[in-house]
Amino acid sequence: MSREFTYTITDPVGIHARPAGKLVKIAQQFESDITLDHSGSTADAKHILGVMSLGIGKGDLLKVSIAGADEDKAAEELEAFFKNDL
Amino acid sequence: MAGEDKYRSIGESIYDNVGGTQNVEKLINCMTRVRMTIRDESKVDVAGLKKIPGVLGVVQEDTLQVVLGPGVVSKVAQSMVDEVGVDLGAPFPEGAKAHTAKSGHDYKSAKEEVEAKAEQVHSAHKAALKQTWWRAALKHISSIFIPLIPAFVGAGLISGIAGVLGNLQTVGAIGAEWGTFILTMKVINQGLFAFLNVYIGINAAKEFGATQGLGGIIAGLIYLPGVVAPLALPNVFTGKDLVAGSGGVLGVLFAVWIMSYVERWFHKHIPDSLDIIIVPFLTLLVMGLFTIFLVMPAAGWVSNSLVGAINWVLNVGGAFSGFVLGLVFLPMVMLGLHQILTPIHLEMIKDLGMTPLLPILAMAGAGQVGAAIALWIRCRKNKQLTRMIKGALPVGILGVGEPLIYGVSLPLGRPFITACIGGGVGGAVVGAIGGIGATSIGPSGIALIPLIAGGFGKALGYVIGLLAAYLGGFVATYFFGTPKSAMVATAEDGTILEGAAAGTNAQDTSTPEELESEQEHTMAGLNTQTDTHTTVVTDMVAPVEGNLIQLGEVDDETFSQKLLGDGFAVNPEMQTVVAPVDGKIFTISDTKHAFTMISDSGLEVLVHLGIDTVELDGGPFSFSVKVGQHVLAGQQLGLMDLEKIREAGKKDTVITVVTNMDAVSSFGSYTNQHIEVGTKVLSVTGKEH
Repeated sequence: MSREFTYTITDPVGIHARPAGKLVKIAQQFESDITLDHSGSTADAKHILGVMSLGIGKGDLLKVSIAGADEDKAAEELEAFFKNDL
Repeated sequence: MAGEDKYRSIGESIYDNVGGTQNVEKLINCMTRVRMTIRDESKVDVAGLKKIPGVLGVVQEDTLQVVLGPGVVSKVAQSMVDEVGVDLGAPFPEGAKAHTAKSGHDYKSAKEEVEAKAEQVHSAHKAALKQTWWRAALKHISSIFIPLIPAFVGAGLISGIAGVLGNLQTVGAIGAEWGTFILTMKVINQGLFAFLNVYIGINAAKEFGATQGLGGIIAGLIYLPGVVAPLALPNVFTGKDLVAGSGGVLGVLFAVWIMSYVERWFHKHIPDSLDIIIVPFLTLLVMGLFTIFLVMPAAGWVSNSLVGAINWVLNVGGAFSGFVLGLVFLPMVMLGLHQILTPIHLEMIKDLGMTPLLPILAMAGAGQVGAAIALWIRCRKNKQLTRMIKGALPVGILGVGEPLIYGVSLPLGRPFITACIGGGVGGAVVGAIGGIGATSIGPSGIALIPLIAGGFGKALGYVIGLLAAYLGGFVATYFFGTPKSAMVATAEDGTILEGAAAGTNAQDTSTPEELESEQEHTMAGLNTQTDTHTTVVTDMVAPVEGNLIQLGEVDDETFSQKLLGDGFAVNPEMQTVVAPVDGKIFTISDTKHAFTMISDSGLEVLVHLGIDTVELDGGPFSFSVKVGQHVLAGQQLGLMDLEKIREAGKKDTVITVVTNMDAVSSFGSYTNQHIEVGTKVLSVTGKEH
């Protein structure tokens, strides 16, 4: 079982250092493996350098995959974070 | 190895680490440093330079300065210019014999490439240096006076001999038959000081790009040759007679500087066919009048006021002034600011017959000597450190302090501060005794004793000051200035524990537990690299020049609460951005306001250029490196336009954080202070693995 959701970035400046940091902080609270897929390139959401290397900008479609014991809770919190902050 | 081969091999290693001979514009040496003007600074490998055996330190200012120590430096510098076939201080031919062109690169394209790059980086560098006109001024002053240092030392010592013999004659210890000899010595000494302006004028003209002969004339006319009473020229401000020599060294520097513009202007506006006749004529006419009637009275007033003010401070302040001057002199040396004092010393020698400032400043070096002796005793097990002290101490006592500063006290941190306190103590003693001055400038330490004016009593006062500075530096360092990490035993050849290595080249950032465990290992004779310690210490350097602030003071919660990791922040004053660690560029964000690196030691480092600068869409930033490129700490990566950032209403604070804190066992701390680009801020110790 794993969870997955997609999100289109609305923040005008995309996921730059600071939001990437917040995202990683949230992802690190969970045991589950969390992967970001940005048009084919993937990165571990718990790893800030990886997230930043995706270079996610406004209007980009992002797929978030979550797999592990606490995946439901993780999916819920991450989705809320994306909607509010990104 | 034969001596000459050794010097040549040091020189070649230096070329290898500065991008080859073709990347050097010119090269000159001072007492202890090889100073190079570099075409493309991004090719300079500072870490590599520091690793060359014999190199004591590297200072990056407007010139790249490699500290080698007295004696060695002149031989290495000579072998370096011999290799290219130019004189010291002369421009290198562009694309000189490509020393590092080991790959079969097409010669021409490599040359064109370096020239284009040099032009680009040079103009970028110039732009970066715009705000600090004083840096350029200091560089000019040092370039003008450095070629004269051997003259000051030689003539100064000869005047010292004349002084000692004169005193012996006065007290009747030697007879009148010595008079001729003493007079002869004085004549030799006056060969320098009677015409000093002229030498400075010629050097200044060379430095400012004017005709050297014309610079000599403008400087020489300040002596008003041929104007003997009852003839006189008027001082247009006071109406009195103009005093020959008014304005002195300061006047010469100013007049020749102005002359360089005037001459260039004439060159530009006079037709080529008439140039050779008309330009020197008009330049001398305009500048002669300007110098006699404006520069001499004005600079004369300035220099008299300056000399008077310094004298007043010393007379009134006494011990306190001496303490402050002795204390702050070495930090001034590190910033290169001490060069500004050379003209002031010379003015004081001209007006007062001696410079009371020099003996006090000489105490700073003596404080280093005391500190080094204390370190030798307390860290006697650290063979690597004691070997350095043994090498640096004799020349330190003789008055050349740089090997001690850059090789011993400064790398350890705390001893540098306690050594400065020793300098302050010596300065206070000299200041309290009062009236102690030197008749010439030159080295300090005991080498300055013969140059002390006013006979045995004054020289004795200077020696007492020296002893006080030795003692002050010793006591302060012995009790307060010895880092525990430096006391760890190490082998002479540098095969040492990692922890101890951090101690000898960094401030003490290890935790007490680590130190204890290291000491236990050492005492058990496990003093080798097969030890289980495999922790890696990473030095992080300032990516920009400016003022350090604590991360918690940064105006952005993400960083101030260390959500991304621990690190440091700098409020920048210069535009140049360099790598904070040795490693690979991992990402540069599209908007260029942040980049990340993975250090060779495995740290993941994020550098954020300004706050909310993502919104500026890259405008103020430019990078000269690419993602994936390996760079060294201190290597230039790009530029940030501070004015553009400020105009856009953003803060320009540069934040450097380690984002994989799970790999870190201890993170160094730092104090809020001004920091030069590429200099160490703190050390990070990795977890054992």
